[in-house]
Amino acid sequence: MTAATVRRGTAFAPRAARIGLYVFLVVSAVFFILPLLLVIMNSLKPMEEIRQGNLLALPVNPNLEAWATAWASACTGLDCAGIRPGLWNSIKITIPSVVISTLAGALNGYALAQWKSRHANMIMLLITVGLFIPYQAMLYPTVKILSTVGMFRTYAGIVFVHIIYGLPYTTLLFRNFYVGIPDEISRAARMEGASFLRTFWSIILPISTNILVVVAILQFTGIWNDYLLGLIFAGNDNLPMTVQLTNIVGNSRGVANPNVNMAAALITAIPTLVVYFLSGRYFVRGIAAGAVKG
Amino acid sequence: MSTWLNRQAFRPDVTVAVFFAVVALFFYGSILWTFYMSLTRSTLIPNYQIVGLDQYVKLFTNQRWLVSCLNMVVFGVLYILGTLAFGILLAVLADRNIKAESLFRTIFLYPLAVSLIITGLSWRWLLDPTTGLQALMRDIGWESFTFDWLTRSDRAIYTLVIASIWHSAGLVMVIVLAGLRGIDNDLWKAIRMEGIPLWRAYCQVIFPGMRPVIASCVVLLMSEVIRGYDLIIAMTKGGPGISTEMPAKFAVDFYFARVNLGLASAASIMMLVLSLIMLAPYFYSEFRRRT
Amino acid sequence: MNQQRLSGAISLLGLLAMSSPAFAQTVDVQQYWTSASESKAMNAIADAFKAHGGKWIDSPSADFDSTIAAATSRIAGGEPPSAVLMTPSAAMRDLASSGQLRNLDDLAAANGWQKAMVPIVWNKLTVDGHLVGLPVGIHADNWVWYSKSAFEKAGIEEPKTLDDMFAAADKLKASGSIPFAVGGEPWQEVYVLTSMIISLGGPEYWNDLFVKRDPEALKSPILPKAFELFRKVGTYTDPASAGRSWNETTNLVTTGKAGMQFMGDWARGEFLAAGQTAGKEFGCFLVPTEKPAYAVVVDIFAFPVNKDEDRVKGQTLLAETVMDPAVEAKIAAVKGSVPSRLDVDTSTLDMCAVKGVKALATPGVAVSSTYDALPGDLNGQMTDLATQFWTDPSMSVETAVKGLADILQSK
Repeated sequence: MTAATVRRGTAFAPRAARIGLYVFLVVSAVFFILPLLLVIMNSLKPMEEIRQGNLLALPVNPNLEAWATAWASACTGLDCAGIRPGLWNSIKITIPSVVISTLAGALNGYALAQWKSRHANMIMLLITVGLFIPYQAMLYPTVKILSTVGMFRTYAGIVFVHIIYGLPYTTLLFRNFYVGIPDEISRAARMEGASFLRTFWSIILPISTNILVVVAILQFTGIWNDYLLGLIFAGNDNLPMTVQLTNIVGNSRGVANPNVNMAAALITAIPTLVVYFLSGRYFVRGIAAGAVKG
Repeated sequence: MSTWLNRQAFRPDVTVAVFFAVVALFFYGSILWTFYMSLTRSTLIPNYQIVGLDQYVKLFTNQRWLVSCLNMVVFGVLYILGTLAFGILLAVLADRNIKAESLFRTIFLYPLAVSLIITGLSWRWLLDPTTGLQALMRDIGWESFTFDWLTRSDRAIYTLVIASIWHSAGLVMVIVLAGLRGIDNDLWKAIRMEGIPLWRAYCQVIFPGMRPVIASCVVLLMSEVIRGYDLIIAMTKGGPGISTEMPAKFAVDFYFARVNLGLASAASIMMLVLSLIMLAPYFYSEFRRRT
Repeated sequence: MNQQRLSGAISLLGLLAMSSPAFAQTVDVQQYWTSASESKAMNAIADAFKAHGGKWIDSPSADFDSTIAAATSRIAGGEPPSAVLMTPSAAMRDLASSGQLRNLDDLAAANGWQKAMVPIVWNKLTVDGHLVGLPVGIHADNWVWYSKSAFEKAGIEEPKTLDDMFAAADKLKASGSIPFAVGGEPWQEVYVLTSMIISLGGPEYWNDLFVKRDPEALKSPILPKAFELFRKVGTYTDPASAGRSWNETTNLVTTGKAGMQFMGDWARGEFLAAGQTAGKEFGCFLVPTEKPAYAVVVDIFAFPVNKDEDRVKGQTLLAETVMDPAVEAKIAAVKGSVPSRLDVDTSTLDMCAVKGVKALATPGVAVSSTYDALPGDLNGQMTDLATQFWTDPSMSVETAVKGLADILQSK
């Protein structure tokens, strides 16, 4: 930490530049905070205040009624039990999907970076193409494949789909990270007779914390916020809470309650927000991980 | 487990082959099937009778499709450049040993945790001239304040750019920051000893070393541009008029609401072709560098 | 929390053990009625269904698109839902003609359903002479909703003709209200256009244009006039925000900021939610026409072909439940729709719903909405055209009419 302080310290920058830097950071911070502030404020307003007009007006009678409705009594279909019923499903789908797809991407990315062949680039290109296929174009074939092996609308099926659909994304990030890592590390392990999987598991993974955290949180948000795949592949017993959220927010011809919508959206976003608030410190720790590179 | 791990040979190609088989089955299976469908007159249920390139002819005589493609280019260029510039700037600043670094970093990062649907809704509320920012400014006395881009067909697309930069700048920031934090102290020492100005150090030494990482940012952002759907749905629904329509929304509309699987498939195939064209320079440089 | 979940799991196991007799009649319903009033309506059906011994598995999603996406992929994956909430649209016809929907002819014959339904509804639900869906409620597109307080402030009455309506708009403008509230979504904008067409042409012209797609109808002077008035309505709106939803737009009328809104009768729910009563705080009228016209939108259940005997029996029971007059009356009362059977007791409905029932029962008044009459693709193209015309003042009426003609004449 002290080394970092010295090397990136004020020595580089004159005073005026530092002030400009802070002004820029504060203005940027306002830009980033404003939309969230608006959503939080309106989730605390009763409907009468929302009907009054200005969404940026401060709530006069802030209360948590909309939150309570969103959590436990908003209608999401035949049931009117809010978004609560899907919480556990979301957790049990997201955790294994994130862990497996991140590790799979790391392994595949490392393999692609290590495989010294012209084909490796070609295959990376072919995998990257997967990032550009609209999900909707993949639904029908995926349904056919999964129903052939009896995994359509099952818990294993939805986790599997998330892992597969996430592979191009995770592979690309890891491959491009590992390409930048000095070859000596792997070579040394190989000299000592370690297998490829062994090297990956015991040597490469431990020095990849930085990128592991980045990819895992990206996958976490992607999978946690997924709606379409959950709706189609999870089956009735495993529907994630985004399905309920969308049923609350997205119904087009029913009566709209923006305050409940905003509260529901916030509740659904809490786990991802928490992950982001906590993950920041790992980037700081990453400095130590970076030292390995010497 | 550990003995099993040790018994394997050092064969990255085997690992790649296994993963690629799975990817090929799902992704290339889907591409083939979609291409097949684009040659048929399928409506909702697949129809396997080939009629030729009719759907492509229809696609390229469809005004909305052409406008969608043009919009995507305008949006894509502004969004990718804007996000990269802003994200890299934030990463560099966050790496300058600032006070309250973790607070700032968290603020810049959190939009990534917000789904695109929520992003679109909150920006729409914020930019709606009758209830949002413009109304607030006028309420507090700035009568002539006008920011009505969301309702103007020649400007609405820029509001989408603003909202998506808001959403993605944090992504670029973390990826670049992860890279910056991995840079060796000795390199910084060397830079300082040589007395190289800071901006030149970044442009000529630091960023070139992070090229693959920045390249993955660009590819991910491009994928957002091509597949972008949720944000548009939540924010403008393609309007005013068709001024913010995009190819992905075109495809989704035709898959289901407009019951035209054939045309939607043709659109998806064209989206893929477009993305390959956009990716070509990136892969060309990757190939040359690596072989 | 843990204990709660454990006891929940135990009671769930108990339920499972109890509820698997050999002849359970089960339905798995793919549907998108998720708002409070819609949920009540669906519960009216589900409660009656359960009372007859059926077991209901609910598969809700947010809108028509995702319901269709889920239903078709479930059919493709070999696990079809028992019933799908949809509209008698191109999607229904497509599913039916590829043999994916159960033919309900025998049930209809046994229960005399053809006589009970309005002919237009019956016709919409038959494909190649077979009944493939059942109505769960009727809405109409061509309503105008207005704020009594805004009308009072402007000193005007409910308009009887199109000229009256524009005169009323002038007065509303003078009194400081927004005359017409229109939300910046393409489907809301095309409603204004079709309202003008139906108002100028009446039911016969409407049928010639959209149902028969008669080339002569495209040459009528009614079309250019309709586009002109469509643009004229635009001059009476606020700078409508892009993407403003219909409910936010209706909100302008409930609060009296705007005078009128062109919207289907689901808008009534919005007024009721704001604690208002038809005839007191708000009023409604069908777009003024010489001969009355009522552009019908139907919500239906279609029944994908299922193999399990248990599911087939469930479908039969659900079909009979949906067509029960008592259930129909209940749906209409809670959802604000109009019952699809003619023999339903209307005493519990409000004055707007009663207007709808009367229009529906009068021969020659009900016509098919463009949503059902046109293939999804053509309806979509017309929507694209309307929204372009609405937002681009440089587009001429001639170009627009020609564009519409091209769309309606394409295959």
